[in-house]
Amino acid sequence: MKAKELLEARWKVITFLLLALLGSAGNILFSSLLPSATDEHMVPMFQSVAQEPLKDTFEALVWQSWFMMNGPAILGLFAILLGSGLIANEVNKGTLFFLLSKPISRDRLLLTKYGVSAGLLLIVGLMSALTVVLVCLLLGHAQNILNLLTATGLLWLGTLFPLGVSLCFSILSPDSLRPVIFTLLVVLALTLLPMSLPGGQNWSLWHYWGSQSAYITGHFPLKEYIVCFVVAVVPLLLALIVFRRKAY
Amino acid sequence: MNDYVAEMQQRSTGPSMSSSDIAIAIDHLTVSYGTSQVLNNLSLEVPTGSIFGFLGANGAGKTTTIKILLGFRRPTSGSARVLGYDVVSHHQEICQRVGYVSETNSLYDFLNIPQLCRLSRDLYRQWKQERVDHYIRLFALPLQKPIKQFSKGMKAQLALCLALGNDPDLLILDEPTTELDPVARQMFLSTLVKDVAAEGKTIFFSSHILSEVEAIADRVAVLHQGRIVLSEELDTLRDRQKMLCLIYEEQPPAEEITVLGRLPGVRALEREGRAVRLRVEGNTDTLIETIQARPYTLRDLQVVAVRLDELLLEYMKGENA
Repeated sequence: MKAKELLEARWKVITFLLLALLGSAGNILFSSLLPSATDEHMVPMFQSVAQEPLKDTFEALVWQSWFMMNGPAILGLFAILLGSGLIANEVNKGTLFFLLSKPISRDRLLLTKYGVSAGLLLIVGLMSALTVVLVCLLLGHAQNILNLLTATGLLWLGTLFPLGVSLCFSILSPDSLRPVIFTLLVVLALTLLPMSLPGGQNWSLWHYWGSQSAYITGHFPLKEYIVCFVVAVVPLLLALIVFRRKAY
Repeated sequence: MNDYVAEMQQRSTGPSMSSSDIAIAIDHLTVSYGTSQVLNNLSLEVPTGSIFGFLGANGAGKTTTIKILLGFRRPTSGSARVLGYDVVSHHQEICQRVGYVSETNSLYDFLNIPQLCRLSRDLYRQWKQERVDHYIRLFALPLQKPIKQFSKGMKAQLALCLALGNDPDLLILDEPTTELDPVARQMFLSTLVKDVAAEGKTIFFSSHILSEVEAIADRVAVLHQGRIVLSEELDTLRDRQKMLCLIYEEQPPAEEITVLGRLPGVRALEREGRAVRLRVEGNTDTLIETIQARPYTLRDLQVVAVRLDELLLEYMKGENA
């Protein structure tokens, strides 16, 4: 079943892998040619997301380019598109009956699909991280691999929330477009709306998807990991409950 | 089927023993979609080893019944057991022993046959690839082509091949031949009868094609607006009603036709000039004596079998409900 899921998602993977590679490498290359990125160059809304004022270092530039901006946007959208089709597409094509008529539980069915999607997100995230390493080496700024992996892991954990939400909507919706729209609305509401409130940046999911201080100083962002993990698990549990009860 | 019965008897936590000769038992099943009642107090038994035709017009509730049997949705009230297992609590046990071909031949069209076989094998606890290969060769299906390049007939044949891969005791087919041309339909049905039914497996298939039900089924149930209006062996059904073809010396008056229509056992009457056709139920001998005693002389009287498709069609329309 994993092979089927991989084959089914191949075009989405190829598209978003290319986007992610461009988003990770291209932005760093482009930004390195510009004057150093500092607080003043940031959009005011995103200034509040950074846990501390951006330091004028190459690491800060890398973090801002990929882990704060392009990474969450590209991988988040990838997660939404992956999750939105997991069940809705099967229902539309009638292939869900092929799976439901087999002696496997609905939980296993859903978790396999979710697991494959999560795996694909991780692979694309790791490939992007590898690209970041290579581009930085090319520019003569070797990055700390452990910090890069920690930040990549946090980014991946963060994208499991949109994946879970879109999976939920995919079970509830008769088509795969509505899950995309509804998930985008939910994710945008939970990431951008709090930023517009005074002192609300700590309630924004975006705030937890990347940790600038962890990337630069190397400390493990435990709080961010816990928040992202809990936030990822909730929609998955909800999806399992809804799928168990859903009549087809 | 003896293996199945023996295996059933060995199961300590399995179904009740009395159910082993009944492949499907539906008891007062009611299913509602919102406020609309799709199945209404439906009760039905499908004997093990039978070829059971499940007839009904579009929207009668055939697919909903099958979805309940396979655990795709839960009944609003009532219960159903498949191979002795409750459909709500034993979904996996049922699916392990049941082969299913859906109305839409729900196959992944980006896969080819070996990939589909691998997928199916992964999902079943037991899988007999040699059996699948046998049917794939029989239907001469191309192995390396993606399913999207298959004709509807080939897809239906492949769906049947895959449904037989887990060596099921019961095959549930939901209008499997609806979109097939006559040649593909004949091939599909002959495989069912010659190979699958000959092994003693139970076949439960829904259809609205009367000719195919008549050709292969040995039992039939007719569903009309969510209710079973007929559940009978086809032979019994054939014997139950006869057609009396009467040809009078002179055209009988309207009063006589009215009298004939009211005779006991007469279910339907058709008149064409001097010829009158009576569809009758029960003892025809008594009825013939009564008709012959009437004051209008008969030139000819014949008792012929009723056309089954006409009879079933009446049930499907709810005229005999």
